[in-house]
Amino acid sequence: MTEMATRPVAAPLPPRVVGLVNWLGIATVMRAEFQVYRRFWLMTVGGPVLSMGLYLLVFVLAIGPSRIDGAGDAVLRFMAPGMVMMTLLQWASQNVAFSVVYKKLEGIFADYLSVPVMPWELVFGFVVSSMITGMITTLPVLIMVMIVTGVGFAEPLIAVAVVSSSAMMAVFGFLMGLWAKKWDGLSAVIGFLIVPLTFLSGTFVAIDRFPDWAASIMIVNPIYYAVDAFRGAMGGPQDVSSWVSLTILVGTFVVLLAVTGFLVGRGWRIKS
Amino acid sequence: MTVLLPTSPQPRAVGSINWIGLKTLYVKEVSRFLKVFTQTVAAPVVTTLLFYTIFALALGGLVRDADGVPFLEFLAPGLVMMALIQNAFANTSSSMVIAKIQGNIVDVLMPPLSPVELLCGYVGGGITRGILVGAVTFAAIRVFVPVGLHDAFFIAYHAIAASMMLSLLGVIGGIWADKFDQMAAVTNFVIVPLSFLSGTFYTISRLPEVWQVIAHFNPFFYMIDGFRYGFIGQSDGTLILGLFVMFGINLFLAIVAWRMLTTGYKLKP
Repeated sequence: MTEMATRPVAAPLPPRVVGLVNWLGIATVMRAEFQVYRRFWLMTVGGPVLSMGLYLLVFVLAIGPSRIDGAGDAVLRFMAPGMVMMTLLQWASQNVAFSVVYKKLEGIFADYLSVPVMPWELVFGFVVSSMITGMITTLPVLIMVMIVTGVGFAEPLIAVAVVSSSAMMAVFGFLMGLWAKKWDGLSAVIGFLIVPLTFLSGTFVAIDRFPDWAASIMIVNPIYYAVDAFRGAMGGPQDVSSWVSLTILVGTFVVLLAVTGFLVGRGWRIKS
Repeated sequence: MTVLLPTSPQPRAVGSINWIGLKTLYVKEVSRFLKVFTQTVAAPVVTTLLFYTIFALALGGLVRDADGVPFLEFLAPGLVMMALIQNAFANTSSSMVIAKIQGNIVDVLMPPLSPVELLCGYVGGGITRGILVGAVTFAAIRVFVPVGLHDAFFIAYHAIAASMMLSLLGVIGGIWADKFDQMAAVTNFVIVPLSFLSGTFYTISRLPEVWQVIAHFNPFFYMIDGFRYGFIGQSDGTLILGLFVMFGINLFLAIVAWRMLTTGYKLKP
C-alpha cells in the first residue's frame, strides 16, 4: 500500500488534438471490422466461391454438354459478370449489416458513440471496410468465373468504377443494420428485399426475357444498372450506356449516404 | 401442534413413454420457428420461387424438356424438395446450437425425457418445418405451373423420409458444432453442394458415365428422384432401391444421434 503511494505519478496525457477529420478514429473503426472479417475467413471467402461454382456447374449440366458450344456458351458468358456483381453487392451490404446489428444487440455500439467520431466518420469507416471485405470475398469468384467462361475485361476503367458502386450497397447495408432491431428483422430485409433485388437485376437473364411487370421493377432497381455496366465492361451486351448507369449508381449512393448520415446523427435506433 | 399442509403435489407417474414431455418439447420446437415465421417459412419460400423463376427464364428457351418432361414440371419437385430438406436441417441444427450457446440446453436435458423422446421431439419439429415450407412452396408453384400428381405414396414417403434424414443430420451437426460458423460451414460445404448436385436441375442420364455412377452414391439423389417420380411418373434410378436407401440411412443416422444423446457427447460435461 505504502509502496504504491510513494511511486511517482506520471503526468497525465495531454488530450489528443483532433483535426478536421479524426483519421485515427476512422482507422480504428475499420480495424475492428477487419478483425471480425478475418476470424470468419473460411465462411466469407470459401463460401461464395463454392456457391457460385455450384451455380455454374448446375447451369452447365442443365444446359447439357451437347448444347454447351453454341447457345449454351452464350448463356454462361452472359451470366458470368452478373454472378461476380451479385457476390460483391450481397457481401458488401451483408458484412456491415451483420456487424451493426451484432453491435447493437450486444450493446457494443455505445463504444462507438462515446468516442470523438463524427457520424459521417463512423459511416465512412463501416462502409469502406465493408467494401474492401466485399471485394476480397469477390476476387476468388471473379478469377473462377473468368477461367471457366473465358470472359475478360474489355474496359477495365469502367469495371473499377462499377466495383466502387459496392459503396452504394455498403451504405444500404448500414441502413438495414440500423433499421433491424433483431436478427429476424435483418434476415427479413435480406430475404424480401436484397435477394429479390439481386435476382431481378438481370444477373442470369436478360431483361427482355422477363414479363413486363418484372421488367418495370428492374428498371428502378439500382443493382440492375451495376450488373449491366459491369457486363459491358467485361465485353458483354449492354442495355444502357455505362455513363447513364454510373450516374444512377453515384446518385443512389449520395442519397443513401445523406439519409444514413442524418439518421446516425439523430441517433435513430441507436440512442435510446 | 399440528399444521395442516395443503396436499403437496404428488410426483407424476411416467409410463414407458413420457407423452406430456414429448408433446411439450415438440410444441416448443414448432413454436420456436413459427414465432419468426417470416425468417423460417416465408423467406425460404420466396427464395425458392425466385430460383424457380430465374431457372425457368434463363434456361426456358434452351432446355425445353428433360427426359421428355417439360423442364418447368421437371424442375418444380426438385426445388420443393430442396427447400424442404434445407429447412428441416436448419431447424434442428440452429435449435441445438442456439440452445448450447445460450446455455438453455440444460432446460431440455434436465426434465425426465429419455434420449429417444428427446430425439423424437427435435426431429418432429424439423420434419414439421421442412414439410410446411415444402407444401407452401409447392402450392405457390402450382398456381403458375400445372404439375401433375402421379403417385401420392412416393411423394409422402420421400417428403417424410428426407425431412427426417436432414433433421437427424441437423441434430448430429448441432451437437457436434460449438459455434454458429461451424454450423454455417456444414450447411455451405456439405448440405448445399449435395442438394445442388443431386439432379434437382438436370437429369442424371445426361451426365458422363463416371459421374452417373458417382451420383448414385449421393443419398440426396434418391430422395429427389423418388419424390419427383411421385409427380411426373418418371425416374432416373431404381425406385425400390431408393425406398430402401432412405430407410437405411435414416436408421443409421437415428442410431448415431441416439448414441450421442445417450452418452451426452458434447452436451453433458
